[in-house]
Amino acid sequence: MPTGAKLVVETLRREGVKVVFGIPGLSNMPIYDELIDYLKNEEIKHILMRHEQGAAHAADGYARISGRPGVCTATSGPGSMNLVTGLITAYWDNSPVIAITGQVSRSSMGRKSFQEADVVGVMQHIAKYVVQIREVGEIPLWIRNAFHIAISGKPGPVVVDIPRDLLNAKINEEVWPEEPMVLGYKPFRTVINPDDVVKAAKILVEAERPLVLVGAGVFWSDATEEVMRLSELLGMPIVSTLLGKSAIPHNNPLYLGVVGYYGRAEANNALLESDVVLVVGARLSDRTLPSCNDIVGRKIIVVNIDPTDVMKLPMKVDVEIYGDAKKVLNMLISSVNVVGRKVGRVGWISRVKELKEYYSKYYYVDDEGLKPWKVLKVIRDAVPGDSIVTTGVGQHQMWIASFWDVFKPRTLITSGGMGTMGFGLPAAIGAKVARPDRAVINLDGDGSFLMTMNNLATAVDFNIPVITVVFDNRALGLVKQVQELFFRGRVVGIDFGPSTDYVKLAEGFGAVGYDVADYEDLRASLRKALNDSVASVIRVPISRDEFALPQLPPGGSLKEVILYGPRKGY
Amino acid sequence: MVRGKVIRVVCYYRDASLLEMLVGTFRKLLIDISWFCGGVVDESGLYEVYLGVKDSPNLLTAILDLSTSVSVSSVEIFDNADTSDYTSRDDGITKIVKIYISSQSKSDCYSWGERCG
Ligand SMILES: Cc1ncc(C[n+]2csc(CCOP(=O)(O)OP(=O)(O)O)c2C)c(N)n1
Ligand SMILES: [Mg+2]
Repeated sequence: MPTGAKLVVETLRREGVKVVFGIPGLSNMPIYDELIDYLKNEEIKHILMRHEQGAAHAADGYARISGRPGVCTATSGPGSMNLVTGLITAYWDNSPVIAITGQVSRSSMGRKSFQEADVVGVMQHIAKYVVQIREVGEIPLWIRNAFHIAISGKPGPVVVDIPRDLLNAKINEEVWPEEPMVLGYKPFRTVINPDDVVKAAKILVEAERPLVLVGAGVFWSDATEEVMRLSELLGMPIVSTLLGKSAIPHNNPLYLGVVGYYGRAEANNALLESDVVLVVGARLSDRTLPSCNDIVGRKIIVVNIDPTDVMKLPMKVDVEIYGDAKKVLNMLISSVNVVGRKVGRVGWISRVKELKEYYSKYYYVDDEGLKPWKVLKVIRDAVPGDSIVTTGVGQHQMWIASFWDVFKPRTLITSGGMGTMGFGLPAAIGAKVARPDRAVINLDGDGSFLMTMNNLATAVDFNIPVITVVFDNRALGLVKQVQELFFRGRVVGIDFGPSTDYVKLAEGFGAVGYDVADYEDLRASLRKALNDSVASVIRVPISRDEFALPQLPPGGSLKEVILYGPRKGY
Repeated sequence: MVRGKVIRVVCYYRDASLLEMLVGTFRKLLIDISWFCGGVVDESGLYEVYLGVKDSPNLLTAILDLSTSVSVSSVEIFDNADTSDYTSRDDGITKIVKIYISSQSKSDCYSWGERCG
């Protein structure tokens, strides 16, 4: 007679789960007890994280890199509550994470009992769905449903909360559901009206200055090839959102970079100068388009999985096509071929090149100290083209947005929607578990790294040799930048003292630490780190006075791009 | 009798978190709910909820969010429904809200990104 806990683990196995990131405690211990057999048979791996936030980020990193749901588990009370930041991060970036949380026994509920926390109440607005199990027999169906909900339509995290008495309860006969069954859930459909595709194709062919704006939908739907083919076919430059950046290889000469709040000036300008914008898999958030007026007046075609993203936009859209980006783009390509294409667009392409060249002189300034753009270039040249990069949140993330070259799709993951500091290291661990054959590098800020660096112990224990490069400016740099630019230089609450020693910190965890003084040091450390069989930390000193530019003023227009800081040389 | 916007939500009940989620969708967008009633319709868990909401610039967003929430089948908007005034107690007899909705007053219906009905 299997227990509820056995049903949990067996359903996970049947869903194809190979790894669970988590921390045990009283309420999820029955699950761990059943997991032992699966660990012994090497059917499922368990990665013991050092904080549940890290477990959720690791599951998220695993999901973003593998395209399959990442699974994490936590005990009731503090364990499940520690998942919150990780789950909302996955929710905002549409990443399929499954969290299995133990809950106190039903008889203890409502008495402020030990480690009781209202998981459903707390999490239902920070996850795609939360379900609390009421009967032991429904565990297989609801875990199955959780996977279905997490991965279908617009992906997102799902929490399954299971009272401990149900994990321990036995059942006479288990029923393995053939199909998921969720009443009141309809994953978005791909229903394409061929007339809309032809209309979109005609608009694109007739355009003088077309532009494609690529969002995370292209990443999730693996539609990189299709975007590039269409762009080449039409002579149509490409810009992206921060998350969409990972979908486009940057050696494509038509790619201009990220648009928006921390976008490249040439990308923002190209958007302003375009006459037709094809938006693929992007919801046009306030980061991508702080002011909707910037896009009004040109023809807009939107391809998106979720029609409500478009219904919420405060602007007119000329053609809306709803469905999976890959399918829609393939139809659009065929249609463009039938409609016939305008040859040339030489003027538009050379204008875009001109913009690129013009703005370079603002970006690639080289003077004293290690310059962030150059540090990124050195790293890019030193690591394999298919290396996976994760980030924290702050100036370093914005430098990556502007200056990191993605060569292969799905090789950059970052917390875009939530902007969660601390995402980098645990997400890198998840990514490396998903792709042990790839180099995985966490390009982190000192502040962000310190939020979840405890998971370095996990990386060492489990032989997950991720490399962390700490952009050490001894500051919450981005906050300082905002204070300098928009709070009249009143800098407060951002300084870190000189005492933290990143090399010792790494060594303290059994990792390898490198301190870097110049670019050559950085190259040498990277070479060693890539060959290290343990995790490593490379500390790169960056001046606390660097700015992450270009940026827009808060809520500003793409026209108001700020290219240099108030101090000379930055 | 008062006239107002009435939202009808057709959804599936698993536990009472359905109602928290539903109300929370409006609360998150700073929309006030003047009254609320509903209940189980059949054994499959089909549940129907009517809400009287104040008009708000965020209302469409709330409706679209609700119409794409797991458990919710569809969300309908009635623009000019007649409802009786809500009074909590009247000589020991509890009055409940009465809603009179003519089918013509339905202005829109959303279900998972599609317009319905
Ligand atoms: C968890 C969390 N807390 C606070 C913030 C606000 N915040 C945004 S950037 C930033 C500074 C980040 O510092 P660091 O990681 O050192 O990056 P830097 O800007 O110095 O490159 C802060 C505090 C946040 N995004 N996430
Ligand atoms: Mg910093």
